[in-house]
Amino acid sequence: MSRLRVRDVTVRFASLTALSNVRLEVDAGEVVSLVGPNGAGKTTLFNVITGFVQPVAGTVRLDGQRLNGRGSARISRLGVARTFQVARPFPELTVEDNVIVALGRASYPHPLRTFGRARTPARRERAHGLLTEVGLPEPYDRPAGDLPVGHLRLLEVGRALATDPKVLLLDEPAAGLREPEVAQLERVVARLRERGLAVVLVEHNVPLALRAADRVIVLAGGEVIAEGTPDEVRADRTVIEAYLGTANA
Amino acid sequence: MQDLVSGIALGSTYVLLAIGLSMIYGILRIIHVAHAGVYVIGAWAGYLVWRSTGSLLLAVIAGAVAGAVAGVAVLQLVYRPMLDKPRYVPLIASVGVFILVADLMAKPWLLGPNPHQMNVKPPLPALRVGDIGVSGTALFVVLTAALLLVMLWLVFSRTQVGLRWQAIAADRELAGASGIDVNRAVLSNFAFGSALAGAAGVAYAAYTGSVFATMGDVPSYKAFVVVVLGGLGNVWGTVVAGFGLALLETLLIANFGYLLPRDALAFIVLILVLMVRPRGLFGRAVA
Repeated sequence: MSRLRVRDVTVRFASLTALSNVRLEVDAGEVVSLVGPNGAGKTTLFNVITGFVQPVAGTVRLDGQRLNGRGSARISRLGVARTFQVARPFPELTVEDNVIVALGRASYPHPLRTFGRARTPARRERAHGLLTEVGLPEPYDRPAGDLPVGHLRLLEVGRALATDPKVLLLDEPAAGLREPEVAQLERVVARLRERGLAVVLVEHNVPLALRAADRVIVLAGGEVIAEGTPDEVRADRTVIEAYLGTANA
Repeated sequence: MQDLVSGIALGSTYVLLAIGLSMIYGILRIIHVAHAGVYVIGAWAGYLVWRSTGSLLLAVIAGAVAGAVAGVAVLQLVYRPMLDKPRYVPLIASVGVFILVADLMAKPWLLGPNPHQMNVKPPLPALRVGDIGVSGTALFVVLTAALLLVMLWLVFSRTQVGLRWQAIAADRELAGASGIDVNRAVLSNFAFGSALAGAAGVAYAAYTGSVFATMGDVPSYKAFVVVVLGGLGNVWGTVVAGFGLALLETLLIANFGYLLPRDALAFIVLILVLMVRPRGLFGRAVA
């Protein structure tokens, strides 16, 4: 059984059909890249999976458990984490606190524990470990709102990982990153795959999307127009001409 | 200097009331007018406990507990079903709840239409330093407020729930996507803020020596003035604004007399400050 299974999802905003019968399956330890032009429905699909948008038809399941109809916090606690197209920190919290506040249930086994100390040595160590893993340089005690855009993206990945996800949805994580940071991000994604996470990557940096993925899904106009291995998609002439551009072929 | 002491004691009650309002606005973006109703309920519960035990400390605890229960009841029964509606919907509901509480409190089987004396035996000895005297009750009010503010600061800055409140206030949607149980965090925030209002009701009643059904009328808008002055949702700005306003009122009246009704001063200060700083003294600019 696939870890994440999206079946025939349709989303409409008034008269606009944003997604039409979209299917997506991701296994544990697999990276799937979702590519397509602006307005293709990539972020809408993330919004459906994470409970921000309810589909008019179709289902989303995590390990067989239905997600659609549940709130975003519940979905996050069940094991789906995401980042956002526009990086969204908690700007007045420190970098470290941005991660600590999202640390998963294992860190707070009982609701009353939330009235306990937030920054225990164990949680700080875990937060620092995650921030180091995603390549965000210290110091971690400055307000997150002071970080440059590239570092905010890395912080988002770190915060998403703090929720102990089974599935990680990355929405254009490389946007605004410099080359060394992109390379770092690529290594992080590869490590997450090795650890058994299912990763879905929405990325406008097509070479990165193809390099990092086991499978690629091409969306256009809210529909899946192609699916396959990076080589298969790279060789698909319609996709090349319409969406990837000949330079990437 | 004596007026300074009176201003600090009065400011303590303003701050305790307004800080809960600020916390609730920060996390839910609701102008919680019914908070002043919670303040009256707290004062009433505290009065009942004081009458039967004679203990002001127990009265404050009872006021805080009653405030928390009343605040959570308003959240769950009134606001919860309308959280996805435009913000004027819960605002109108909040005004309705406040009027309902004031009317209910005026019933003979609750507080009734007339004030009740609450002449508490000062729980602490009076202090005298030179020409300045501080009554035991005023000292108790100030120390209680200080203790509660320190407690609030510790919860805000040191605990996981405090971090969650700050995260939700910054970005409710993102907080949910980060796995934070927003409903539970809002509930604890409401309970805490409402407990402060309940304690404020008892403190004010003990300081002024009376409890009455309409005692929330003036605080309902004065707390709002304090919150706006401090910068909407800025809890620590609220503390400074609460003490500042109380001190200003007390010192102006002491030095110039009642040129204007005391409560009109709050609005004059508000208007003057907003003319210079539309976001309040410590509010952030909206991008």
